[in-house]
Amino acid sequence: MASRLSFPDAALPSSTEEIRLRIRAFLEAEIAAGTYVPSCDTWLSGHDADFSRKLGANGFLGLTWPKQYGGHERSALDRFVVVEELLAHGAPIAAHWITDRQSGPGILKHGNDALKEELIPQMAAGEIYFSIGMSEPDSGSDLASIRSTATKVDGGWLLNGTKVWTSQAHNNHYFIVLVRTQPIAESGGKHNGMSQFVMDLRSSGVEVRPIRLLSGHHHFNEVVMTDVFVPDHMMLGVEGNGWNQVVGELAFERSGPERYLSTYPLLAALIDAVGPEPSAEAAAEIGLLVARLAGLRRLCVSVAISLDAGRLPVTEAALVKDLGTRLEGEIPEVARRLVAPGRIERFDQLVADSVLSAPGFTLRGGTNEILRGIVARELGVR
Amino acid sequence: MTAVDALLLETVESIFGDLCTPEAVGAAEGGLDARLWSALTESGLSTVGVAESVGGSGGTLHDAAAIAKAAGRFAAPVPLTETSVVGGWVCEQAGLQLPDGPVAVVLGGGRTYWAPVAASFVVVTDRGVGVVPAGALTVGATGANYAGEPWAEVTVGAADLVAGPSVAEAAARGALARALLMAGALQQAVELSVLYANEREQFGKPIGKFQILQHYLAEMAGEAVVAEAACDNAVDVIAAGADSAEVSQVIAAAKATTGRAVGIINRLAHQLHGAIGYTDEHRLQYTTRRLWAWRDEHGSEAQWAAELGRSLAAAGGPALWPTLVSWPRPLAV
Ligand SMILES: Cc1cc2nc3c(=O)[nH]c(=O)nc-3n(C[C@H](O)[C@H](O)[C@H](O)COP(=O)(O)OP(=O)(O)OC[C@H]3O[C@@H](n4cnc5c(N)ncnc54)[C@H](O)[C@@H]3O)c2cc1C
Repeated sequence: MASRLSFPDAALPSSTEEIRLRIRAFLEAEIAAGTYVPSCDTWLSGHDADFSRKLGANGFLGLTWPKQYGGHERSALDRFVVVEELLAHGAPIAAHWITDRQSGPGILKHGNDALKEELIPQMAAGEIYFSIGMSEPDSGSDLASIRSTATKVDGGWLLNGTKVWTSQAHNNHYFIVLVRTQPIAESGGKHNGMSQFVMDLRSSGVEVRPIRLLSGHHHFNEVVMTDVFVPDHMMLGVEGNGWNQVVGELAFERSGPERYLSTYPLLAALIDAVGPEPSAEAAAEIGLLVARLAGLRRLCVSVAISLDAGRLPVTEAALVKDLGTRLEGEIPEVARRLVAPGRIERFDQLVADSVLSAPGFTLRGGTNEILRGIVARELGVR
Repeated sequence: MTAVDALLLETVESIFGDLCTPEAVGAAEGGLDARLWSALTESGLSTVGVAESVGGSGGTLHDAAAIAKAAGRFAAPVPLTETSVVGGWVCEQAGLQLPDGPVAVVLGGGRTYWAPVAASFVVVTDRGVGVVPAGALTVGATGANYAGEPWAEVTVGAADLVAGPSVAEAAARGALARALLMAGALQQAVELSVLYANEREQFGKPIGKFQILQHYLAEMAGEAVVAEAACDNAVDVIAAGADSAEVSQVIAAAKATTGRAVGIINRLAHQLHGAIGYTDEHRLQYTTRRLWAWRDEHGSEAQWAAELGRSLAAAGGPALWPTLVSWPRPLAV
């Protein structure tokens, strides 16, 4: 029942205002200086190492991580605020995005001290970047069916198999890869016997092959691993516990503001494009998008507050992602209906980028069909 | 979020739960349920959120909103929100005593919801506001909405008026009241659908085992939750203090979002219930007919969305983000 889904607190603490003003001032200065032009879907496609390093140098990365490793020991809600400002300002943040959102926290939670000391400070500085190595050619939604393996050898493991759709693997330094360390036949269930490893994408035996998007962009890759040696200390967490580790990350991965703000810069540009006295139709369409966006933001903040309080709102996160990814895909549809092409160059560019990236919104990070299954289970009908 | 008293909510649930049976709700059509109204009055629930100084029960807007949502969920056949959220608010703003008994709010004249059963009218004009006994105004044609909630055409004659909210401000308050009722009723439509999906069997299993219906339910739950969130934003922002332009914006967002959700949730709820849900025998219709009616009353989603869109366009694209992040306001902790 709807009441089983719980979105209790929704107001951010006022202590987050200081960092909001700071990141906003930083971004406005960068835009004014021409460092970047605000664009859509930049958390996935805007890979800019200089910009990420600048964010690191200004203390905006690794916000919640221990100071001992170069972090800032601030609250997760401060991080939420920084992230939503970065997205709303269309900043190029793809280089460090996965690193800051999940690889860093994953290593801090499950990694050993050597691994933390080796990697976290550079991650917090915005200098090294991570990708996600989960999907395989025959394993998408049914992730537990993966076939890549790691076999124990002296001092480490040998990894074999093919990962696919690996975002930015050609630009990034590492990925956290999910593989089988025990065959299904022996693991006592499909969800057992998997483990996570931190793998240097430049190791010998790794081949990163581009896969072009329909737009022609080189965004993701196929990563083929042939007898890649990974030393023992690069295993993340406990052998055989990979599935639980991956699932534990999902509420964090799925509930962020990137799940409804990918096309926000287009919405803001649309308001300017229709002018201060829009037609009734234009006003109504924009008004409805913003009304829904405001409601969604409340839900998103609420999930962030729940996570910060130590709860794991997996279903709520799935629900927000389903709603949010559909809404962010509607924005370009409305925008192109209301403003004819050929009038405003930047607007046309934002529409084009949004239209061509929209198919990914409802796939990446778990498809909306899978998300609705999660919600339905919580409602009590599965 | 401002916490709502748990005891208050319990009382509300138990009164509505006891008295808003499908039979009672059906029997009240065309008028109001007098038994329910007196139970609400005796417990002081009909004027929660209205200051004691003007004859209300006191309490916050958050309390009043929680009661309004519950009234929507239980399809309560009484002018509860007309009396508290709209009429009581107008009285409080103007320093007028809120009279006893059910209230209808006359917004400049014309179609006035609940007028045929109101004991008093709160009259709002752009010349001022006033309170009069029902008999004092000319009541013309009468009718009822899809759910049998009555209305009448009312003409405002000469009345004693004092300074108070404008017609537009009171109409916005009416829209807030409908949005809150809808938030509750939308939730009920989802809950009834979940129950039915587990109960009804076809092809040897509960229909809730069919993935397409699971997805309908997930979509309905999502729309209900986002609509309620828009209402909660409005209540939070109004309670925290906002100028009338911003009050209008947050109410517009609430009415637009709830109104939109009705189209989706009613359609899917009826689809999922099959023929039985289309009959007057099944209680789903008490909820869905109200939702269809309420989305049109005090401004449709299209009107409010356009209102919001116009004010956003006038402010310009760069102003949108700071506005969004101020709903709700950050809280000092
Ligand atoms: C832009 C982008 C970036 C990505 N980046 C990465 C990355 O960096 N690393 C990585 O590991 N992966 C990445 N992915 C992969 C992503 O996680 C998968 O696309 C996703 O999990 C779905 O898998 P699939 O594409 O194989 O589709 P499939 O699982 O084959 O699904 C195809 C269709 O069938 C539906 N379907 C499948 N199972 C069910 C079911 N049980 N019930 C109902 N419908 C079902 C799906 O919803 C979908 O509509 C990325 C994807 C995109 C689009």
